[in-house]
Formats: sequence, C-alpha cells, structure tokens
Amino acid sequence: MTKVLECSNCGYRTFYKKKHCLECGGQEWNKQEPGVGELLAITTVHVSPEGVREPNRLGIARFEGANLVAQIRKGLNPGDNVKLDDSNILREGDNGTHVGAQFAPVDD
Amino acid sequence: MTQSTGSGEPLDRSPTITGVGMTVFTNKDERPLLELLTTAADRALDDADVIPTNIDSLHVGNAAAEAFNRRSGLANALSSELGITDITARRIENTSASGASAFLDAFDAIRSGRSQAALIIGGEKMSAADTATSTEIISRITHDAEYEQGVTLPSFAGLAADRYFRMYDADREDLAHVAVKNHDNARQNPYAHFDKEVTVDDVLESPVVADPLRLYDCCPTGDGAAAVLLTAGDDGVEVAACEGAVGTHAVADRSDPLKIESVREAGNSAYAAADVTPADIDVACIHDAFSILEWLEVEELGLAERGKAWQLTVDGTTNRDGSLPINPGGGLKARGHPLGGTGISQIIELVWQLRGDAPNNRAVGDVNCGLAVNVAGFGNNSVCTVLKGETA
Ligand SMILES: [Zn+2]
Repeated sequence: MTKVLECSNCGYRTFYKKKHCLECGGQEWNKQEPGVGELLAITTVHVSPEGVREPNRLGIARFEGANLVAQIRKGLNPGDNVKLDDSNILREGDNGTHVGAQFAPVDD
Repeated sequence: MTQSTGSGEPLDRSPTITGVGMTVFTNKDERPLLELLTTAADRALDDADVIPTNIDSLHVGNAAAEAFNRRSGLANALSSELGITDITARRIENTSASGASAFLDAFDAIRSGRSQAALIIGGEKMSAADTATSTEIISRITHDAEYEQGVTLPSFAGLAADRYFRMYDADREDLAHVAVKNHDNARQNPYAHFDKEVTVDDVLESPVVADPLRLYDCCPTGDGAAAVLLTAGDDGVEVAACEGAVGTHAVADRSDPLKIESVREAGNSAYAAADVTPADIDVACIHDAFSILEWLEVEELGLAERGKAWQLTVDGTTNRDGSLPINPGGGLKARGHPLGGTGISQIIELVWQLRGDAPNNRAVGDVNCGLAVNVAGFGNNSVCTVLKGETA
C-alpha cells in the first residue's frame, strides 16, 4: 500500500523513499495513511517508454504536507479530491509487472 | 602551463573565455562521438590560437556515452585523440546539464590556481540509439516511484503547463509564441538543428506529446558538440560567476509543480557571486527543453515576476530586438539538445553576443552581461553562469 513517509524527528512528509530526511537528515520514517488529496494538474502522455500504457494519464496531487505524481482514472480534473487506490497494474518494467497506486475519486 | 597536479595560487580575478567552437547541432551526424568532440575542441583552440599541449586540464561534459554509444572512459579516449598527456582530465556527468557542470568544474580549477588553461568539451551522439531506446535512457533519470508510474520528462512539462494555464492568464496560443520565437532565432544560426520557420498554427496543429504540450513545444534530441577554452588570463570574455544547485530528485517533492528551486538557488548564487541583479542581465540563454520551461525559469531567475513571464513573450520583450532577448541562438527548442553539448552551446552563444561576433541578423544589440542556465532532468540540478563583456 502507498503510504506517506513522515520523518519521526521533524515531521517532514514525502511519498518518495529516501534514506535521509531533507529537512533534518533524520533516518527514521513513520508510515502514515495519505488520506485525501487535491488534484493540481493533469496531462495525457502519448509518448512513453516501452511497457507503459498508451496514452498514460497522469496527475499531480497535493496531500497533507506531500505531493505525488501518479496515474489517474479518466474523468478526474484539477480541483477534484482524490484518494490513492492501490493494486492497479502500472507498467511492465524492471522486476516485471509493477502494481501500485492510481488516483481515484474519493467516492469511488 | 605544466601544472599537471596543480599547486598554483588562487586566482584573484575572474577567469576568461578566449576561444569557443562547436559543431552544427543536427538530427544525425555521421561522425563518431569522439570525432564530434575533437572537432569542437579544435575549433575552440583555433579560436583562442592555442595548441592542445598548452592546456592544463580537460573537462568533458557527457550524459550517457555508455548507453548511446557503448563508449566508456570518454575523457581518456578524448585526451588521446587530442594528443594530450600528463594533465588532469575527467568526464563530468549531470544528465542534460553535463555541459555546464563540466564548465563549473573547469571554472573551479582555474580559480583555485590548479589550472591556467582549461578546455571544456561537451557533446552527445544520440542518433546512435533508436527513439524508444533514447526515451528509455532519458526516462531513467526519474525516482523509482516516478519510473513505476511511467513518468517521462515531457510528462512533468505537461503537468506544469496545465497548471500554469489554470493559475495565470496565459493560454495555449501564448505558449506557442515561445517556439515561434526560438525557431525564428535558430534560422539565423548556422549551427542550429532547425532552419525552419514555424507559425502559431504549426505549433497548435502538431501532434500531442503530453497534453497540453505538443511536438513543437519539445526540443529535439540529436548529435553535436561544443567546446570552450577557459583561462586565468585577463583578456577575453569574463566569467563573472558559475554556480550550481541541486533540487529534489522527485519532482513532486517540490512545494509546487511550477517551482524549480534549483534554478532559483543557482541563479541567486550566481547573481551574488557576479555582483549583479536580474536587472543587469541584457541577454539570457534559458534551458527550454520544453516551451513552458522558458517561462518557469525566467520567473525563477527573477527576470519576470511569478506568473508574468508569458507577457514578456507575447509583447516581444524576449525577441532578438526586445529589451531582454531570450535564447537568441534558438534555445534547446531549435538550436537542439545533444545533452552534454547544450550547456556549452549556451555559453558560446553568449560569448558570440558579447564579443559582437553574432551575425548582424542575430546580434541582440548593446549587451554587456549575459546569463545562461543549464538544467539537469526536470530541475534536478541547475548550473547558472554569468558572463561579462571583454575586459581587455
Ligand atoms: Zn526530518
């Protein structure tokens, strides 16, 4: 499941795994439920690496303290509230089929 | 000029550029990568009237010769081609900012006193790989969590453009003017990838790459090399500052999709080091890998207020005959973007403009201070250089 990583020292939040916190250098992370985010922008991508769906609809959403770029369901627009829906096939790539989170409507 | 290990005194003035040279940036150059690099190097050395054995250090900017050309150990192979031994030589990799990063490395070598004459050569031969392979190589710069979503650099640019249009008064047609301008500049530049006028309609009718961005919003990749000789002497074009800043790896780790903090940081450091303000900049070469980046970077550099850069494009301020010409050589958009060559080609364009060597139809008029910004990835790491007119 996709979680927000929260620095246990300073509270900095990110979706992107890293060893050290970029605010305080800490190395201990707590996993938190991301909750509901707001979609900030969307794009439909027609030129992608092999193994990626065509077209690839992507969005960037702002959650409490952390932003995320992820694939989106059709029909979502900037300003919409979104949740993370895990267990979607994202692409073929390194390590075979990648399964992970897409943005979905909150009432989905 | 024999300090192979370096023990000179730190330089108490700015390094200067005494020679520049490049190959024509193009879709496909039949010559091997090493030949492209040596051709650019020889042109820069000829321009400076210096022979290879008189240089103290070699700094090679290249992003991915291993992947594109199956070539490792590039700096050593290049030294051999140039007939150079006994000096320090290295290859600098920083994705699409490899060129300016190699320049920064040379700048530090000169300022420290380690080198009196540093040759910087940047280049890439991307045509050796097919488009799918190229897309794959370039997409590999992303964070693992971005890779998993199939994200590419145009994806980030599409998201940024979508947000810019929603936040500010600019629209799709306004953005097309960036490509129209940069193509028009490239037409006057014999070293540019494109020699083709494009209209707003051409841009708007080109295929969608990452909505709302279209093909003509994206720079071409290709083959090309560029070289500069940087010295501790006091004649030539003054390099008043060269500063770098790293940003977040994952683009979404930034506070907003429209912010490129690494450009802002590198720019502010460069302004401070050169003792100038944005108002002093007469001409700029901006890393417009995608049209929207020209606006975002102009804003990060303080050359326009946030949300206002588009107006400078629409009202002609950034045209060759405007008060702040941007990308007079055509930019990445139309001069082309052979990764490691790009940052050096930006500096060369500024040198030509500051020396008054740009042909009449491309000269931007009375210029004393120029800025270049070269960006790795979608803002992962930026290098900003400030040049001032000849001090002699
Ligand atoms: Zn922390």
